[in-house]
Amino acid sequence: MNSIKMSEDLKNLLYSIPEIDVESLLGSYQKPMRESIRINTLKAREEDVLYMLKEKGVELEKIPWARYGYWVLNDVNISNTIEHMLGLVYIQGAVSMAPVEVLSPKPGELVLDLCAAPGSKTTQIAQFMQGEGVIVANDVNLKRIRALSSNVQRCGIINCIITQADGRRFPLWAKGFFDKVLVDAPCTSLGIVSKDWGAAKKWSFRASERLSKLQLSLAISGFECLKVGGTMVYATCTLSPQENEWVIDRLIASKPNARLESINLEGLKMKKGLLEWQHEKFNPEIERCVRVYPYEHEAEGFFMAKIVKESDGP
Amino acid sequence: MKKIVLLNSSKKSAFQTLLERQYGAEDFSDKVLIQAGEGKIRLTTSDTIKVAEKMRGVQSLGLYIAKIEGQEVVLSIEGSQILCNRITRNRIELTEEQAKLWMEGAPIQLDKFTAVKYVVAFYKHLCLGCGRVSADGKVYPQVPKWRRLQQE
Repeated sequence: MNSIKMSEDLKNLLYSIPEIDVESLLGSYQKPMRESIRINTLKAREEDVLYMLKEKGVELEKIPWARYGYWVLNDVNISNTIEHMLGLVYIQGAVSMAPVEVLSPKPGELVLDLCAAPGSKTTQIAQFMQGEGVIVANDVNLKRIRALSSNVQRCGIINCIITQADGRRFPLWAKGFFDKVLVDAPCTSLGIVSKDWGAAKKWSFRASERLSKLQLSLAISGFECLKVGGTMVYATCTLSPQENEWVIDRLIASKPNARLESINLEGLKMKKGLLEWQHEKFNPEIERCVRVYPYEHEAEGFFMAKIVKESDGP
Repeated sequence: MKKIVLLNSSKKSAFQTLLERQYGAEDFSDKVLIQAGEGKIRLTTSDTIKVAEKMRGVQSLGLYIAKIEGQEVVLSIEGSQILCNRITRNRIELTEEQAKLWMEGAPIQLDKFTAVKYVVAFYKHLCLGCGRVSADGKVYPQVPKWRRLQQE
């Protein structure tokens, strides 16, 4: 059996975070993640879809932290079923459903998904909004927007606007406009290495640092697009503190009107955000961020921060 | 951003007449419909349009529900799902095997001759979109390639 190749930088990173169980992490990288789906209640009643899948012999188990999420227990190719093609189910990683659960969009709200493609979280947001309110799903990459458009169409969403723009420029036309913002930032993807071993082989501190500057700009941009009292969730699927705690630390340092909120999701095994990494100390509030490691649920690794805009900023 | 073109009342009325004639379906009179080029019609909400006017780089909004080809309305899968049980004309019921073939994009042989150009396929209570009826009595499903089942 082939074993995963890791860059020297990645080895150094993993051993620089004492709470990571490196052996379990490497084990999880070598195995495919458990398959999971979300029932799309915009198109059908949850119980009807569950019945249809059961008739096909699909065995499901509820994911405790995701309202419409289910683990697929047996070996079925869900992506090649009528239910999938018709948009009754959406294949989505179990932990990847968590950021939208934390954001908790409501019908009637204005919601921005700043880095939306390929649309898993956009379609999940739409489901929570039940056709009321508006979602702006943005991405900078036209090729990825095609996948986003297809998924929005397949899920039957009528209240979504798809835009192509550099997310860093959004406050120029949408400052203080949204009730909720999701920044699911591009990252070095150390939480989903089992899907792409190349991420481990090519990982470097330099690339992570470079990305963290973009991530910080996107987080600031997303925050500026919030109304007073609005909520932003910043999420990545990586483990590097440079792209996670560092970004949020700098965000709250530059935005005194930003307040971090605690995150609680039933059944999801989470660790608190790191307060120190490589001799750098972060704001104690960072402890309210959460880390989910891939080996906890045989699923993706994620970092999430929930930020509220308390007042108009300086 | 391209200008958002709302379907005006006369175009909307013409669209509804076609829908009624072709599918016996109730109309979209309480919905906001927009034109999206080449006879394509999208469904959205008035709030969505208001927000879109404020945004930059808009690529699309709302849901593609139908295309008008001359005097015919070709419903998308979503368009047919929204109308679904209200479709009373030009509907065909498929067996499980036929539904699978339909979603693979394969033609379905009709039992009875039909003079219409398009029909909507149903499998149990699911709507599978429109199919084009050819002279040889076969229906060619209008399932986009990216939504077709792979043959096992």
